[in-house]
Amino acid sequence: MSKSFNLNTRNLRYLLYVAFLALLIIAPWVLNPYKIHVLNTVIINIIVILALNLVMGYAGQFAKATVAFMGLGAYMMGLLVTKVDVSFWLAWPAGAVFAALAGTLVALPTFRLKGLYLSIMSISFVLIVHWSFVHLRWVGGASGFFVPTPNFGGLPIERSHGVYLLSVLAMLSAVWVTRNLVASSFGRSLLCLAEREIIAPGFGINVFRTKVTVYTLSGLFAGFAGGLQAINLQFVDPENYWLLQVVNQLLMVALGGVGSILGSILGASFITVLIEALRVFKSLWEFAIGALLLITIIFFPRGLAGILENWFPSIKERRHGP
Amino acid sequence: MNYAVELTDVSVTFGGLHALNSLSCTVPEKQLRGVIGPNGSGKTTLLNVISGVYPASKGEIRLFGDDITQTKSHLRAKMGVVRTYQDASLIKELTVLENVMLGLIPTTRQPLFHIAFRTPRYRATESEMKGTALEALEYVGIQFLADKKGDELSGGQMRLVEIARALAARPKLLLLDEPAAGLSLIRIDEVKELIRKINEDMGVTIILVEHVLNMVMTLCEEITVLVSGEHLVSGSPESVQQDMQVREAYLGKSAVQ
Repeated sequence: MSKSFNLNTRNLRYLLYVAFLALLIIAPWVLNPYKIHVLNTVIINIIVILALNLVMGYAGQFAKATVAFMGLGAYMMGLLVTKVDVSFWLAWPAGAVFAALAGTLVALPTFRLKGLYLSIMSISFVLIVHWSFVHLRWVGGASGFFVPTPNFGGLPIERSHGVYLLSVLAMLSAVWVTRNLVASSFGRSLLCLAEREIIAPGFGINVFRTKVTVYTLSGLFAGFAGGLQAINLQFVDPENYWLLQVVNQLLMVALGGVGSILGSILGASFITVLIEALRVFKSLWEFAIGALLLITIIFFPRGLAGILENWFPSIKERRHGP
Repeated sequence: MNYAVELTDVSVTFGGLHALNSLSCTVPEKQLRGVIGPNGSGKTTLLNVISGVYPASKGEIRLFGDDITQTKSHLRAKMGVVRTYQDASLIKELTVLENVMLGLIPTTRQPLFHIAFRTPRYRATESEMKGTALEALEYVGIQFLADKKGDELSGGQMRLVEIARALAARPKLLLLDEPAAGLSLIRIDEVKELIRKINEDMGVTIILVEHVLNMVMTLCEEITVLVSGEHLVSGSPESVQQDMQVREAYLGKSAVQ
């Protein structure tokens, strides 16, 4: 039997990527503003889920503070723009760096904490950060604050399209950098930490430094995503950085696939759209999400990406380059 | 004589338990040293204290003349101390090739910036690592396994991958923790010949902890016997076999009398 088109190599994965990219680029011309807004949320969530998957999936650390990092990125960017009158193009990376520093801070206790305790610590961090957003009057308080969308200078693009295209660009960069990280000694070290931390030093891996690095990177990604979310909503709302979002993000990781880039993309897309679709049914979506999380964990431990990889083994991620 | 390892008065205690009790012992460079002893005699602890998994509670450890008593485990790996584990410690998410590449971290610098942006330097280090890892697999004779996942192998294949991973980094001191455990007789002979080859071809100092006595007796020029965390005796295989104390430790007092 001869095959005219071979799907057994990496072709299929590239085919998926190209199809996805084509859809993204034509989207603003076909979709109405509401749908662009939803799509933009999907794209921003992909960045956050990559950030969470780096720590949770690849490094196997049960820390889920990306929600707080996102919030810190959004607040820092928003405050710099509205109170200090800094340009968005400076405030955005500044917010991300601030979130990255928070990531470093959260990483410090991992020297002693593991598993459940690490999980509790990271949830506490989310609660403390959320409490600060709500209770510190000079950061806007419980009602949050408005953020103007950035000025795209001389570029001939509409404001909402500009934010959308910026998000697409950021998401593609995040996917590319994550893919590079995963296929390197750093990525392999993370997997070693996840599976058997005890033997890592024997391979010359500085366990503490590796953990601090991955938390910092995670904070950086989430901080960039937080800034994008703020300009997409044109508003910084403390309720966007709370426990409910922690649960949503966990579900995106679990449903998409733990430790998988494709999984991050699928999980973030599916859940974001689902939440939007069920929003009209009041609190039904909270029930749907809880049930979905249970079903995924029990029946599909490797998530959607795992199912796809079973069908097409060639789409499995490579852990080495070049 | 130059020593690869010098232990002076080394103790390792867990709570009240002395896993190693004032142990002094030297291993000359390029020697293939066997370590035997009954269960719980401190053999694995000896490897752990040399590779830095546990700190020594007391005493001094020297590696090729340098005091490494306070040196952290990952830095000892960079100084050329590489070990294998009783349960072959392959990472299941990685392929065999990638597992061996993991062993190359001590000898390769791959800065994060270059990784993140896929610079030529990343590409160069990565393909160099790949080449070295393939060479190591070839040396051990299992290059055909390169693309298998860590959990698709038999026990014997896992041992060989582990040895390849240890070799890839060109260690100066190789610590082998029961490489023959759970292997068939034919496989044991293969592993034995491999260890001999590594020691002779590459001039690597090897400390071999093993329960298969026949393997240790025919392979090692000098054997150290540990009993209850203490250094009982060191000597040639013949002298150790003749030693009354050793027989007593293994067989019990009444059997010897």
